[in-house]
Amino acid sequence: MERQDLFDALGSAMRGTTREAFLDGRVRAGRVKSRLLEAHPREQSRDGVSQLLARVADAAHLKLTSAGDDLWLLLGSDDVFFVDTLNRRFWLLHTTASVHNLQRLLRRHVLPEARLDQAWLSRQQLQELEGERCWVRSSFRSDTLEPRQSGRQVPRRWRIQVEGEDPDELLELVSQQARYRAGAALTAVGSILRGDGDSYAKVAADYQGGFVASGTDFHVVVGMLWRTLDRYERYVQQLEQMFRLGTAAADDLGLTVEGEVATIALPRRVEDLDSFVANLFTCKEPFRLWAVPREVAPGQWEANAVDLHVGDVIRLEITSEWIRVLLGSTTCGNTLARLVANLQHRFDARSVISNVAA
Amino acid sequence: MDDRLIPINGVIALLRGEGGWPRLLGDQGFRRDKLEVPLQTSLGPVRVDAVLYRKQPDLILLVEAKSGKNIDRKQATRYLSANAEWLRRVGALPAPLRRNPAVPVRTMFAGLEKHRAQLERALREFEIDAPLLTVGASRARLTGASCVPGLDDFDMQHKAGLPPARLPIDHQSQDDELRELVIPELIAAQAQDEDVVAVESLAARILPEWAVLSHSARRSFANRVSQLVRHLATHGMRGQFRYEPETGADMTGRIIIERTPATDDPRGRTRAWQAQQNRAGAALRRQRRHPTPGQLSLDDLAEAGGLADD
Repeated sequence: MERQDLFDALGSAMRGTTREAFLDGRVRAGRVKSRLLEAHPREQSRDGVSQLLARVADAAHLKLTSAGDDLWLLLGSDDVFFVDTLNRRFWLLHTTASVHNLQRLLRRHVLPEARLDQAWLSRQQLQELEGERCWVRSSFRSDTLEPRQSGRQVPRRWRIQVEGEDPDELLELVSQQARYRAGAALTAVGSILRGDGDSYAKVAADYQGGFVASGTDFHVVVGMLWRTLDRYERYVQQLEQMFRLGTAAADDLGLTVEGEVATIALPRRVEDLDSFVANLFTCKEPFRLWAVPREVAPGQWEANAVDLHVGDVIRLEITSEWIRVLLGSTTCGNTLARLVANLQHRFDARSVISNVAA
Repeated sequence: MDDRLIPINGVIALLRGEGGWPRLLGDQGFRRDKLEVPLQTSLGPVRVDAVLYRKQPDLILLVEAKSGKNIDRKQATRYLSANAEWLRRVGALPAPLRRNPAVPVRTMFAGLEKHRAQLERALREFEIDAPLLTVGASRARLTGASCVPGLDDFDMQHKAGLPPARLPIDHQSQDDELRELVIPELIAAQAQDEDVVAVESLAARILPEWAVLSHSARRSFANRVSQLVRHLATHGMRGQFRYEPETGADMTGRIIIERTPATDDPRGRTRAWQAQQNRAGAALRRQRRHPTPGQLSLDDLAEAGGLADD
């Protein structure tokens, strides 16, 4: 199968038509869902990709088929999931399966796999998504990390969607209010992308690398997806280049140390640090951090943590005013990206790494 | 972080201004050249904790990081006898200063702020005229720099807490500190669904100075890690993994992962990892702090298996 055939089929599905002959009708009429994934095959090769996908397929009772040129099919009885692994580390998954079936595949078989993770787009990356903005969504829950807080200073939970002309402006206005600014996380955006002539696509994108597209032309969508993938890859690589710490024997004598410490200056003070720390390391989604933290100085905690998404060890040093993240020499940058994105949605929307451009 | 290593981590933080620490040494023009540099002097060998340097005025600063309250007189006098000629003889002269054969070499002692009084007393007692840097969770202080052209005293309160633990342990750290790093490595191996972990590779991952240790020191450290793993496998974390003694090329044995929560049903996986936290907490001799439950959401229920999610 050529990529062009796939994009044509997905374009037809978006337009509401099905091609029964194509994969026995598994590409159904309706919106196309895409997902940006990060993969760590044991080997950065076609075989490594194949083995990792085979594990997912086996677990999900799907049939893995190569469609050629690093494009793979996960075939179910009714659905097909296309996995584009042209970039061996950052994959794109496309399907017309129901949201329910896609979520089940992701939650049960893809994301629990230690060698696979999703993308975690920062606020800035979501803002940079191309297209004419139709709506923005903000979803925030501070009670994950601060369950005892009353909600008077920071919203405990909210979910809002702003639609209409320049919806970013209204969220920006909210974020300027002292009462609401901590909660004004950018969770998802809806945009219209214009192609040649009358062709267009409406695309919804969220901070966890999920995309849903409708309209007339999937080629418009796939261009946006690849550009988003490229930006995200650069972001993760930048995090790795800057913040992976290590030591090495110098050429002549002694030891050299490399990398920088990532510091997240918390935009507001943590009122109940003990509770914050305890709730950060519960092993639960969305942080999925394992640790047995200890207080090393009054008001300062350290945690030699394990990121259960990918099994990397990271060290966190935490006070009421900042979090330092010390990555290992091979720790995946996605681990840091996830922490930042989740702090924006669970602690304060303004949380960023002080010494990096998001 | 091993408390003994707070001073050297403080020096690194003051050079780079990282993790919220003031860049008090970096702003004076100092750069870090290398750590753990074996040096020879006219009085004998010394292992320098850090070699710093600056230009215009040119200066090399040898840092002796003190883990406690005392200063070893013999070691201190060796430090103080170091000069550019000896640094050049052993190839330890920082590259940017190699064209200056007369570059001054001075020693700075570094310790914990809480030990300052004792360290000052020891320097006076031994009639050592050298700068003393002390660091703590809220203060960084350098005194006695007036005798060193190119180095200025400072005294600053800060809110950056203890310095970032770039070097959390060294090969002399106590078992308790090693255990803090060994257990997460084992959990990481479980999370990655690994079958086998070589003790030597684990030891190399947790020990920053591994690359410059001698073969015998590596073996000695790896043996200590083996002992810790063996104890964990038969006590606090029994049933999770087992230790296999050395065979053939395995210098210090290997760890066989026997079970992992990573392969449990996703709906029970979180609880299995939390059980690992409890086991690890017991092995580390502290209780896991249980999170305060917030409002229960449908998502929480689904994850706990109380609500079908499909």
